[in-house]
Amino acid sequence: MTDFLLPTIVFTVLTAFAPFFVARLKDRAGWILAIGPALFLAVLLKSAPGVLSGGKLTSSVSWISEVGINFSFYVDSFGLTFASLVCLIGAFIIIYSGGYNSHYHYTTRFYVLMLAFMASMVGVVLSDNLILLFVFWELTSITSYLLIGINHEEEANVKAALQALVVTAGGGLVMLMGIVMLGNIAGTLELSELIARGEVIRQHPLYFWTVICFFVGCLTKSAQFPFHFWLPNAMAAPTPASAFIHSATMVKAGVFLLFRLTPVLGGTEIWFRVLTSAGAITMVLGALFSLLRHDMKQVLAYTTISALGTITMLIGVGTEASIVAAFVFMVAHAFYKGSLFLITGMVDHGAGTRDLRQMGGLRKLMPITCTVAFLGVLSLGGMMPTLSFLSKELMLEAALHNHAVEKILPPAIVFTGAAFLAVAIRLFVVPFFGPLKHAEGAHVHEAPLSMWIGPGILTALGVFLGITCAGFGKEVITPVYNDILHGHGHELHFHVWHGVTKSFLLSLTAYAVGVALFFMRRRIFAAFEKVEGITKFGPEKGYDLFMGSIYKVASFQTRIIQTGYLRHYMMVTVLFALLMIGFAMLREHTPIPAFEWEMSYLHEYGIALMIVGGCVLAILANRKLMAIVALTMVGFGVGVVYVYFSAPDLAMTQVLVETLATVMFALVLAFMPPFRPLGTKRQRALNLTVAAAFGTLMSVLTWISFKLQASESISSFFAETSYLKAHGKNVVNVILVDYRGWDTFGEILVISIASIGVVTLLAHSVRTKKGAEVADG
Amino acid sequence: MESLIVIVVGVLYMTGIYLLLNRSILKIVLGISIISQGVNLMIFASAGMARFNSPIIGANEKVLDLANAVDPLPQALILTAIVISFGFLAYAIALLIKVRNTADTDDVDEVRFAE
Repeated sequence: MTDFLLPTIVFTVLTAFAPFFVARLKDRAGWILAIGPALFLAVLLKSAPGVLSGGKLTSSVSWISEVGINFSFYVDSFGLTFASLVCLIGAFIIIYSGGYNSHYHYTTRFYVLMLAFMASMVGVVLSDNLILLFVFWELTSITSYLLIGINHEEEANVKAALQALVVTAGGGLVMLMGIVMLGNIAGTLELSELIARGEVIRQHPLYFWTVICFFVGCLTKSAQFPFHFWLPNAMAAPTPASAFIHSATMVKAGVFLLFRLTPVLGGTEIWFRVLTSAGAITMVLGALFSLLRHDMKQVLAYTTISALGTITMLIGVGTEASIVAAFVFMVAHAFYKGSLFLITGMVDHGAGTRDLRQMGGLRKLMPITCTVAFLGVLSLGGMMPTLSFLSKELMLEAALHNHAVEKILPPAIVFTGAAFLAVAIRLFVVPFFGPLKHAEGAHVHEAPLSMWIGPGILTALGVFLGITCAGFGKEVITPVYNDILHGHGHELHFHVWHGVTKSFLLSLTAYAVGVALFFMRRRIFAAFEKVEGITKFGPEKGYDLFMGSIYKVASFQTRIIQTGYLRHYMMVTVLFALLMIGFAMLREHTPIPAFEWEMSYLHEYGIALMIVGGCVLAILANRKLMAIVALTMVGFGVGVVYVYFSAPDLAMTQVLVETLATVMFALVLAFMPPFRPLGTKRQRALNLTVAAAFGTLMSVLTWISFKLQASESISSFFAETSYLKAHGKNVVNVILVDYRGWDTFGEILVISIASIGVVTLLAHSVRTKKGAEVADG
Repeated sequence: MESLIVIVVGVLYMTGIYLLLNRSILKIVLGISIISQGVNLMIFASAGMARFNSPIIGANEKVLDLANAVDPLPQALILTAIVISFGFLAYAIALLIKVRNTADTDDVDEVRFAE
């Protein structure tokens, strides 16, 4: 794993210096920043031969190992393939962004977020520890949130970003519960160890809730029904971000984890039912809606949802054949779907619109885009000989050979395939052929090299891997399949041409239906317009109600709790203290020693009278002078107590401080208006009652502390060592400056901060007062 | 003196709390000052109100005889507390002037609306 150190450092440094590169290189910064993911990809590919032949790279740094949380990574062939895809697509998208962003604000922020997202995504797929995986998982949600809302001046974008965050990060939190339960059941949080303990976990009584929590996490992240609604809204993000995050990578994190957990939690009744039905519903609904949209990004978003549904469904079916089909489809999808998004961006960039109804005839003006788009839609339509075609064949085979689903799933897959083909034809024919819909002389232009190179290579790879599927299947899919299912020695054989099998005939049916759907599209749109109102009652309505109720509860409780009156807060604080101390005393049956009156010297009565008198005066004070007198009486009275009871240091300090305080008060009072009675009599009576109750409680506590010797005082230590060790005869001073020197230092700091505060407040208030009259004062 | 000081502490707390619950901002600051006196006195009293010698080691002695001198620890704590509460009071007073100047009222209920 040490090989990964250098690319990680380079990646981090490049990300940190992204603002610098963007400022210097402008649109060409993408080429430099792409070095980060490219280097990472190189290291992944370097270790690929070893990993694909069965070796595993691991690295673990103890983090909070007491509770099984480690900073541990684990690279097997599945993680390696996935991470390579992330880095490959990521590098091309960063390059692409350079061309795309020339029309875009917040370029710097965009690059930094994209690279941060990429790092998190690689973290998700290479983490061994589930808690670590969760951290990266939520980081992808957060970066996705920031990217959707990057153009934060648009209210709709902000709303879409928040929705995506609430759904995916909320699902992630539910999954965290699942992770904790799983860790408790299995006694480990490392994925590599969990794989071998599936049997124990599935027998456990908590299995049901654990698996439900993981479902919520994975299905929200991968935009599965009924949580799918955030993904089309997330298209508010810049197109490269949508291509990368909301199509090729992040939304696959959910299905990635489902793959990973198949040997741990899979193979049960609930696993099969929930995933197969959620996946199938999502697949069909996504395919249906993709036929009905006109914005190219929306169309692609729904095909993405549909594709993710397909993968989820296949994982749910859970047979060996379906897992293989799911994986092959996922790889194929990663190659073409991200690219199609990028092509949308190129069309948008060149022709200025994404609405399919407003474009046509771009072939002559954008020949390269047109070629790349052809390769892309070939895969989207599942045409021979692409990898996507192979995956559709595998899918149909898997569905046909499973008794539980052979009646329902093949038609659903055929419909989805047909819809995909119709969409593919539409995405290719409508923008590029027919009459040019743009006004002559409109600034339609071809995309620059940086924009077409990525999608070009990726879509070409999709076709190339289809042709060479025999080798790809042997070298990559076989080990990945073995790693996913934790099996050994199973070799898979793939061929582009299977002969005329049942699944091939179904594919042909799908093609025919797809072409028909394309030609019937106007009629479908018209039919849909009549029933469009129904879509308002989708799961998104539930989300809106949920969010609305949160705001309502929040404003309700704010009205109740936050009255805005200082005295209310004060009252609550005092009553709460009263209640808690009283409750504790009652519960512990604190013995209250009987109060006995002790005789005191006459002068002691005098001192007490002075303090109490000051208090009474302070309560009654209705003139400013009375307030000062009251304060002085109390302060100096307490000072005299210190004098009489052998505390010369305290007495000295108290007298000094009280003198200063009196002076300050006297100065301030000059600024203040005369006292006026505030509040009603009832209010004051209530206040006095509460205050009296609190005062009584404190009296009782003081009395208890007199009579109670809870533990031995540590003062004997100070008494013995003060002179011998610290060389000071005034023990109080020695404690302050020596034993508790840091405390005193902190005290000095507090006083400094307070004085800075005073100066700031006063300087400012003086300025505002004069500011009205003297402009430069 | 112990029974006496118990009452004094109670009265100080009562006055402090009553003033803090007041609407006049000046009285609130007054309350802060008085309640901190109560806290200090309470800590002071926890050592016992004995009329002993000061906690200062005599000229010819090397250790403090705790049987004949008061406990030095609460005194050290209070010394810190007095200074801190003075800083606090100074800040509160500055705040008082600020509020008076900007909100033009001495009623905290009105300050609430004078944003």
